[in-house]
Amino acid sequence: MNFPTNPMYGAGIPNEQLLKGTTGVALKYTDGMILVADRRASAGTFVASKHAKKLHKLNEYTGMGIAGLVSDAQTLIDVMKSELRLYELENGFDPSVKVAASLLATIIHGGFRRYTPWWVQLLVGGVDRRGSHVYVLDPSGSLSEEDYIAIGSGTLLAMGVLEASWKPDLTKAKAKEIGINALKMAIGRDTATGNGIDGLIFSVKEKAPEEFKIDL
Amino acid sequence: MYDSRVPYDKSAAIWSPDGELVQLSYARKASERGAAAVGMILDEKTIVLAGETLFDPLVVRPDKIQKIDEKLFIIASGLSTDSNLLVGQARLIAQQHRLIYGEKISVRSLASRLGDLMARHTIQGGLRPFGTAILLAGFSPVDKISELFFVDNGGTFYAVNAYATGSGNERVIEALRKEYKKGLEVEAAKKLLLEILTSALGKKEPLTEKEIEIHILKAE
Repeated sequence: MNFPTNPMYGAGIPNEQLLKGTTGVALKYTDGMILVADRRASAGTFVASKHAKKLHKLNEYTGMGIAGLVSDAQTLIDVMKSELRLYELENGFDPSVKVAASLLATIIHGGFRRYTPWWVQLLVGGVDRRGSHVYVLDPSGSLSEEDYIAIGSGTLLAMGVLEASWKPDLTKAKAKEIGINALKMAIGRDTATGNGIDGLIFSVKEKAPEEFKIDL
Repeated sequence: MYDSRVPYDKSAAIWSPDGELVQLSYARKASERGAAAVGMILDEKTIVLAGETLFDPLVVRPDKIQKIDEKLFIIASGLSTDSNLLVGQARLIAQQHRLIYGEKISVRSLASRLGDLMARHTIQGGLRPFGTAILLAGFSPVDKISELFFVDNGGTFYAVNAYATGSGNERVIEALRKEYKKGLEVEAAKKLLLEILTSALGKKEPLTEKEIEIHILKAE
């Protein structure tokens, strides 16, 4: 994981054994977006889990991909699920993907500025009335909207595939293939990534997200 | 020995024997003494707000319709100091929402937040209810559909198609019940509002846009 090396984290950097290697990928296509991730939870050189769940539905049209400190990520998932339900109740309409991503950025940056950073890299993606969206967040709380992006220890490997293959207006099948190829590249060359692939597809044309799994 | 009981009309936080918050009724009276304010949804993309601004040649006419955020306005009636406080809070709440969620607040959410604040003032001891009732006008965040909310002194809020507060409010609302229909043109709506206000306020001369501040809100 490429965590910031700022000396202010001297006491706050989690033990290497706690940080889980991962590769997570998010990319947009014509009517939606796809999240893809591996299943390996590594603890240093040890494979701590062969079936780690790294893609989570926050609601029926917003998903999150996680990398980094698993406990932090799981807490953020629980917080976000509740926050989005509350937002829906208080406003009378579903929160957009931007609302979810901005709220996460606010929470993460709050931690960063108070010397208790959330040790995570996150993908937030989904569909709303404006179309499909992909956002990426880092431990400092920065937020950027992308067409395609990767997180985790296999970032550079996956990004190479995305950079070479992604183009606007992909079909769902083609985008899925590119996402899987990016993951396969990371699984092949990054020791912290492996044990199969999970996927989550959000489409403006479907009510519920589509899940897929590939055992390797 | 002195009597420590507080009479039920002295505090907003004490019920009268017949289940009324007497201070709240007094507060409603205060907002009914204020200049008239009307809001009306014309169609999905247009809202009209109108307010009587009391004319005094010595005083520079104050703004009756106040901006809270982009395409989000409040028109209030009653104690202007109380409504200024609410407008200030509304602006703060709107910007907090932008900071946290990266998007403009919805009219419903703002109405509910202001309603909470106003309700707090009817529950907590030592506070008095707001002497102002407000109309909130804006558009839903994504599909930009007209939304108008009324929030009364006690914090009760509801979505309305057309509503009035301030002096003559009952007569204006009664007239709106009869005359209001969706899809009015802007000019026809202005004319209707001026007529309704003229008769509701018992003016001898017909009111014109000189005495009534009119604001047309458009989604785009």
